[in-house]
Amino acid sequence: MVIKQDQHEIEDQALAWVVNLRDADFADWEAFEAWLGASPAHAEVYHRLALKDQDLDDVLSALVPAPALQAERRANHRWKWPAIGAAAAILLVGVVSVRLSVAAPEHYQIATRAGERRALTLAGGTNILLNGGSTVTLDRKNPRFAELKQGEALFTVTHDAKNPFAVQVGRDQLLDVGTRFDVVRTKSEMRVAVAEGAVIYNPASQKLMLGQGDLLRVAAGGTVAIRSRVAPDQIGAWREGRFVYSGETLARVAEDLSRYAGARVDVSPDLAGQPFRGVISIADPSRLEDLGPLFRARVQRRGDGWLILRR
Amino acid sequence: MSDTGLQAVFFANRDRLLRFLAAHGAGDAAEDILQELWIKISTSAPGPVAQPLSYLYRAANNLMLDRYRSARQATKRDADWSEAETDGAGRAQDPVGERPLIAREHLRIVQQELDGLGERVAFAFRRHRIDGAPQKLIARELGVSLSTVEADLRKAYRALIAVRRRLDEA
Repeated sequence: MVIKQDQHEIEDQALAWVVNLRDADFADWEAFEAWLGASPAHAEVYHRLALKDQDLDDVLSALVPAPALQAERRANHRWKWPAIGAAAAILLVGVVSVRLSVAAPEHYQIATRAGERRALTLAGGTNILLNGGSTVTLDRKNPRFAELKQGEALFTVTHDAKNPFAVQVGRDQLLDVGTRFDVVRTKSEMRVAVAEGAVIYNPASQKLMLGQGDLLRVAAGGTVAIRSRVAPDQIGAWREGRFVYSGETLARVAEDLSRYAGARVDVSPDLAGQPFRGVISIADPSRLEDLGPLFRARVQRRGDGWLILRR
Repeated sequence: MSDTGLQAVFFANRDRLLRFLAAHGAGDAAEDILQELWIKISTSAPGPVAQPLSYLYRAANNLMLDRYRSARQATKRDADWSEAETDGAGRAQDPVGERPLIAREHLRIVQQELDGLGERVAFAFRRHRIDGAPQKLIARELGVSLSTVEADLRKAYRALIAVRRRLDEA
């Protein structure tokens, strides 16, 4: 144990903890505790630097996100989805992403490949958790806007009545009146489920208010919207590898699994329409065959993906 | 993980969290702070938490920082009670009319400082501090080692914290 340390050395170490603790998946709490406890000067210096770091929020909030030039995908290592805290200080971990340039310079796209997940923090404190195989368009000039091009995203929005957060999904628009909601866009439909607070569907036309636990399904290109109820605490459970179904078809289950597990999951046509009730918890996306008994079917490898078929 | 799950983890790790608070220098207040943490997690449902123990450590860490901030503010007020107003978080607040002007000036200074650190360091800092990207990912994006990113980030944080300090003292 070091008895007397040079102040500069302590500052260096404290700074390293400030930086490392900002990683959402930081887990080395015991080492941090040991360092803090080693000398009262450690805690003192850490507190001072950590507060100054927090104070940076004010000046940094106006900075735009990192430029896209270098944020290219360099590896395909898969990240474990980290703890997501409600505390504003907790930032979220990112997964491998590809940024594409689009027409308007202030617009930029963030896409995940199947099986990858990524968390984004926008200015103003809005968090977007992007599920696998999803693409979202953001606006550098307007942090209160996002367009879900495809896939699924869980939005946790800091509400601002004067400047509500808008999500564009195809021709539909969702306007937040509250906090947390999940949006899915597939080729066939758009679904929005509200976990907390409220959302207005198409504020310019239908003006449909969706409250906590409301699930709205709108067929692609259609004008028919179906509203039903869903347990609010199950919304966004995919971020933990958990999926809750109450009679959805196996085709829909397969679609969710494909997005999450990063491999194509198909269902044999005779099973596609079969309803499924239950909770699926995926600890290891490479072992989907374990799900067979749950479906009263067989899940077998086929090429790079999986096929659900009759036993 | 349900909220009751988080509470169960809290009870199972009560002693560890107390030790953590003690290491932070909580002293006699450690039990009170732990109680505060308990009230926090049992009243505001944080939603599903994937790493509950890590979540609790982080919440405890934030509580300690809040306390430290309040204590500093109190000392500062005692020293100079006529100084600027503070907002709820204890951060200095400037008179309303001057704020946009000062914010723009501060942004300019911060931007200049960042640019002066070099492109790689500035990129790593923005990705980490603003986008919330973890260091491992930044290392892959830049094609450099994790220790290089760590060193870059320490450099950037140190420089910007120094800027913040100068702005506060100005």
